[in-house]
Amino acid sequence: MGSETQTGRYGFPSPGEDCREDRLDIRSLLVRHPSSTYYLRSEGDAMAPLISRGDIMVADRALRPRNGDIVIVELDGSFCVRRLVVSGQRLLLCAENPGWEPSEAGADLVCFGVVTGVVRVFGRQG
Amino acid sequence: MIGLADCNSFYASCEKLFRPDLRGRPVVVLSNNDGCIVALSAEAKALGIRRGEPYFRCRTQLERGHVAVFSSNYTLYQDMSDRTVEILRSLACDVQPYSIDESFFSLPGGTDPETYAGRLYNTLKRRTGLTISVGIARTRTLAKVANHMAKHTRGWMVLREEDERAVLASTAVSEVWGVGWRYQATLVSLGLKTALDLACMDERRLQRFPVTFRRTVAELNGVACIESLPDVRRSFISGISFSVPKTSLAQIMQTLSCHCRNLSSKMARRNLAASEVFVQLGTDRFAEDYRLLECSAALPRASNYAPDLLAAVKPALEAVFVPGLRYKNSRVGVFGLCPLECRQWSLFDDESRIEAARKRDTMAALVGQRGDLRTLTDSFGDKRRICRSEFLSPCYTTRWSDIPGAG
Ligand SMILES: [Mg+2]
Repeated sequence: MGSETQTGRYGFPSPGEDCREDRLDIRSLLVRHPSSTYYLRSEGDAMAPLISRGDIMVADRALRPRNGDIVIVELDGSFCVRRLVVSGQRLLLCAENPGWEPSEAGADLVCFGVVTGVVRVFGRQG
Repeated sequence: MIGLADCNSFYASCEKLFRPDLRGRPVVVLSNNDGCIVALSAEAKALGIRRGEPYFRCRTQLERGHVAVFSSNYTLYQDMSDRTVEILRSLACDVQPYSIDESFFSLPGGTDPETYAGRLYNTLKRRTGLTISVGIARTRTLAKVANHMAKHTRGWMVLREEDERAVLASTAVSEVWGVGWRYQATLVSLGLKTALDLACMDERRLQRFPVTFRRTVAELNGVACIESLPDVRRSFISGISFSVPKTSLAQIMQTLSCHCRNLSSKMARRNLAASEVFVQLGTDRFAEDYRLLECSAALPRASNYAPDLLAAVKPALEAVFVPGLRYKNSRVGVFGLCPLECRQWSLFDDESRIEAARKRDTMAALVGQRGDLRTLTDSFGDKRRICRSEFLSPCYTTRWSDIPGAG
């Protein structure tokens, strides 16, 4: 076996073998907690221009919502994406779109997850 | 200490998690083929709806109660189950999934059980979005008891050694893990009503019971002896194509009994019992007028005993059977598999069943049915295409086309 290695019958060992690293994977940027991460599609304009209609939002349930976070919350029986602003004792849900007024949330606000990023896939013609 | 994490109303909770419009509303989930109710939310239970009820029979009641009805979406439930187990693994040690919504675990060293249980409950709730009760005690059987209490209180419960007796005294024998309704009559006739009565059974009397039962009693006394749990598989299928088409119900039932026996031995080999059976009957699949009859039934108690499977299947099949068709194939599947420990045998059944099984096997050898039966385990492929599921929810977590929207 040794002689076959020497004659190169099995090819030559790569000098990069010991330096191999994992190739970049977009998930390592977007998904910190895979088991508690969900994807939702943006359906409104509240967060424009930051988040567009059709963007796929990455929501992490493991993160506790904090002041300034973009969050998925339950509003009137449906999921909405807003920026959470804590001002004193008040919880405000703010839209990014300048045309939208902030709304005040009660203490019973249900947060589905904290949005850690968005993905936009470009469609191609043909 | 051993813990048990058990999700409350698992299937219904999975459906509700992605439907904020259903917050506070009653939800039921139907069996494969939309046959009967297999899961209910707390609100639906409060309406008096019962698990196992055929859908067609309680349809008006559901409509009147504005109950949201779902077909079972096992793709969604399995993913939510996998997520829950992964999260539990990051929080606890030696996690052993026991069923789709329950796992045993042990506590990390140096933690105060009370503090740990509360933190585990809250963290699981936040990360999964599901309410998962946590029971902790000295043995698995006691952890089950603790979990049951947790469900009716604040969601977590640590059963301390000094409190065991008092708690067992207020637990009915029928609620003890591994002691089912079949045992109950025998135990009551012996004057044993509570779990504490069981725990205090005298040795001589105990010797007359099977070993699994004796283990349960030992566990109630704080001696851990149910150590390893079997590998839980999701389903088994037994299928066959007939060389000569069959037309009568009697002929069909004969093939189904083969399937049931086949599935029965498959489950027995792995120490599993089923909670749901599913039958499919097809005519020539290449013909234009191809017909497929399907039905399913929930077993009153988890079982791997062939006659139990057959008894559940029979009325369901009779209800959908179309006489006169030329049937070319039949399949029987079992779902909702759980380890044998939770199956409930009658006390004196074992012997007579073994005897009965022996007789049937002899018969089968005489008739030559065995050779006729080809087994196609798990060859069902995508169950969704085969089953009727009128109220199927999207696969929110496994298909890009199905992810929920947010405005
Ligand atoms: Mg459960």
